[in-house]
Amino acid sequence: MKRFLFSAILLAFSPTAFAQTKFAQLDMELPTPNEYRNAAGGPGHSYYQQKADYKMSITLDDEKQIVRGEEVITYTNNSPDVLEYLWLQLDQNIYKPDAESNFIEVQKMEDFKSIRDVENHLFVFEGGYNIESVSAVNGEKMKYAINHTMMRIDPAKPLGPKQSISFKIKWWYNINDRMKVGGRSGYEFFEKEGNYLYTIAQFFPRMCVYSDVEGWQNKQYLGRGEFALPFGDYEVSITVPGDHIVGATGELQNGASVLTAEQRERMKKAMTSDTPVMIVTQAEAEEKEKGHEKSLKTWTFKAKNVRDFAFATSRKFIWDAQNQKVGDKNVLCMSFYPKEGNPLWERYSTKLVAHTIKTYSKYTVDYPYPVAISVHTDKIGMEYPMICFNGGRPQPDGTYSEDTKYGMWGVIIHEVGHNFFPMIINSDERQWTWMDEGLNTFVQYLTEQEWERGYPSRRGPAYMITDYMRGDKRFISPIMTNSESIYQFGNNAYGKPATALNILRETVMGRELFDYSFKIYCERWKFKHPTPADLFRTMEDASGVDLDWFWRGWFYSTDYVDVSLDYVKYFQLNTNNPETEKAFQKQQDDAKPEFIGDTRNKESIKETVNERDPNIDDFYGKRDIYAVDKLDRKEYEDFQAKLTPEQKKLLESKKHFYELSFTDKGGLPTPLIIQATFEDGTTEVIRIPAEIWKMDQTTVTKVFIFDKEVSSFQLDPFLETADCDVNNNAYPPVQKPTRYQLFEQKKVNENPMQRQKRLEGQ
Amino acid sequence: MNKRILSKLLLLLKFITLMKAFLFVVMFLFSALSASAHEYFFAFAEVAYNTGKGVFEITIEASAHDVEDVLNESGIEIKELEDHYTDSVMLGKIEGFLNKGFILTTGSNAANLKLEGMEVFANGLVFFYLSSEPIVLGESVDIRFDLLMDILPKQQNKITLDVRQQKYTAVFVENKRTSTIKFDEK
Repeated sequence: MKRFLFSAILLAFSPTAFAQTKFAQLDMELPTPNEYRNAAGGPGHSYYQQKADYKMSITLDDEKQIVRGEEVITYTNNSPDVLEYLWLQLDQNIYKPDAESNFIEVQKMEDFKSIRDVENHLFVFEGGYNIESVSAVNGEKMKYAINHTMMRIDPAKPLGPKQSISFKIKWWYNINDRMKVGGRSGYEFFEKEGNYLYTIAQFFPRMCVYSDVEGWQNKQYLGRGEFALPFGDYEVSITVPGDHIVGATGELQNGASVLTAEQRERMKKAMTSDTPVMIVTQAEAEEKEKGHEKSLKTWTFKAKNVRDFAFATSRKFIWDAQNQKVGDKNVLCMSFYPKEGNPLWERYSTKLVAHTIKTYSKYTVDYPYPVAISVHTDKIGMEYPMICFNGGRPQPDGTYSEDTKYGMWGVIIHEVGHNFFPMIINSDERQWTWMDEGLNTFVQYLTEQEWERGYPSRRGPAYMITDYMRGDKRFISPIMTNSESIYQFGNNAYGKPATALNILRETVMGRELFDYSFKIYCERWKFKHPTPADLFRTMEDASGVDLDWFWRGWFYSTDYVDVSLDYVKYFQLNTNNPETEKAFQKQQDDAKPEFIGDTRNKESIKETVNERDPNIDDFYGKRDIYAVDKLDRKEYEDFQAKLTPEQKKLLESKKHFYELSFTDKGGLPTPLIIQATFEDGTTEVIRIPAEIWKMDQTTVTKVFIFDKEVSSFQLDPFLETADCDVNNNAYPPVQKPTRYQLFEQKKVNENPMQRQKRLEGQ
Repeated sequence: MNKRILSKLLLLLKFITLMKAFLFVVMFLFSALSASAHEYFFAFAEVAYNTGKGVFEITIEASAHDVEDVLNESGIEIKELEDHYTDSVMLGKIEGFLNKGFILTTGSNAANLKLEGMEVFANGLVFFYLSSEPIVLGESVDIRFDLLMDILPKQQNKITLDVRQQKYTAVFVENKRTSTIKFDEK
């Protein structure tokens, strides 16, 4: 339908308090900037952080699966405050039978439906720390108190600013069977050969963070919210069976005494190789699996400026390594895995480690540590500085599915990526899971896409979060929720923030502004403790883009994006040329559908009265409304005379005007991306910032002017806004097929390998 | 009556008669998942009522490895789902498993769901495609969607139901395993 546009400026004022709330600045939500954290999102001029250095001697009892340790902690108070007490984390106490985490699990009788359920629930693991002593370095006992997973130590006198204190803790604990008890660390037992693979972490009493934000971060460890840890230097000696291979945070200090000459020679080669070099081959590892050496060896590692320490040890380990250059530094990338990880691990793990630190360095900060390690575990993925434990195990016959392969790739990239978030850019995981998991998942996505074009990333692209975000908001938390209270950890803390950052990068800010600002955030907060406000402020301050509406919608609410394209109205300029306009009017009138009665009357009424009697028709009856007369032409000439040359040109341009109306059904403000497809098949994309919703959060209209006639409009044509219902995004309306309908069209009844076999059989 | 059933019944009897003692035992349970690094996933059901055929057409999306683990825990031994695209015996077992964890009832009739096929994607997700026998649509539908929850207590599930061009959603968690969706009048 053609409508005529008469020049007019329409001013629409329909503000609502609701709309203002969506675009209100975050002043009330964010902490007031101060000397420790400035308004630009960077560390303030008085920013400080504490330091905790550790010297530890650790012994693994491979017969009883016990870890024993003695550690000397030197804690330096860089804060302006006097500390009357010190808090340490006792993570292993989560395995105490009376741990708080056991009591807070909600249970129902439905959980006890079978003997097996009851057996599982009644299984008691005697875990947790046995603290043997806490003393000053001179041996004098120190007063301490244990509050579940936290331990308070009371120094003889308060620790003043710029003062240090050293003290010693002696402890032991039973290692958890990770396959039965669960957990981020523990052991896996290989029953056939009687060997263990240990991934040991959160194994020693560790200092809590004391900061300007929380004071002591001593929230209990309940299982979800991970860790907040200060930086420091570590020197750790680990005594294990003589046939074990140990991988750990830091650099090996005594290779000469724990490695064979051949292993050292291979390592030397690996240090300059850009492809993996075997340090321990599968054949060598399998040979060692057969014996259980009684002698012990002590491996010593040093790590500087790290927030934690972890290690893995087993006689089953195959070991390979390669070099990766980052800036002007060499990083030794390594993998430790049992034969059960092959053929996947030997082929991919170390290459993935190297690719990950290289790619993350590009988007964040240069990887600062000398080594990066991936250790094979079954099922889980877990990260520590320089070392991580990753799943991805082929079948016993060495075959594996495509999703196992991509799962293994994804988990290695993700866990190695955690070196950057939170090991280097050291956010408080106990408080905000999303600050490391979300940011890491975002860069993981970028890294996966640089590993393989079209990599089937599970999280990152906007359209992949829509199932989670749409509709019923019960049991969905805002991203800005404490780690322990989050509904749906994976989508909330990993998927949604990663998607949000992708939308910022691709749609709201653009890649240049986003990449610059994100890198600034990472550089500002490397080896420091950032908070959400520091990220929000830096991204705005470094880009010059007001993002308060975005943080508010995506991080503080459970709203979702669902914009509908409600109608399209078509207009053309009225040229006032009677020849043109009257001919057009006739064309339009002729094209109108004819009422059925009129059609039938043409045949059934042979002659009307006025057709028979010429005296019936007067002026009105004889008039041709489509005829152009002198007066019409004169008026047009007068109209033309008043126009400037530019106005005449515009009038002759035959532009096409379209008024589009949009409704925000999901409540989350979003930019509007509209693709117009013209009659000649060409397209044009218009990008409208989210601020179009500023004054009316519910419905907005927008007029588009084109030189060509449009055949269709598509909202969010590139699936970049996480629009949860794409069935209301097109004009003319297009109903997208359901997944079931798509399945019916292709009917998958064999996997790709089965199809290949069928092909080869022909 | 076999021994297994007998032991279950005895256990149930003890639960009823020794409630106080039982509660005491619960206080000392160990939570195996308390320190797990598992991210907890959603299962999504996309359900459309095909008015032409009078059937529900359903796609359930879940993490393939989660489903494999839970099938194994439930006594259905399986390695990789995608090895069983044409395995009618295994598909039958999976169909039974899905019918226990996803139940649609409308107009007092439960929809009997047939597994038409499944597809595992490289990103680790599996789609199960199901259809119901013809069923008359009532004014509402009762849904039980606790698939995977017995073994993975942090599992959350969500349904998007499309009836007469109208979309409805509902979320399911361990403590809220059922939901009723009433259709808008048209």
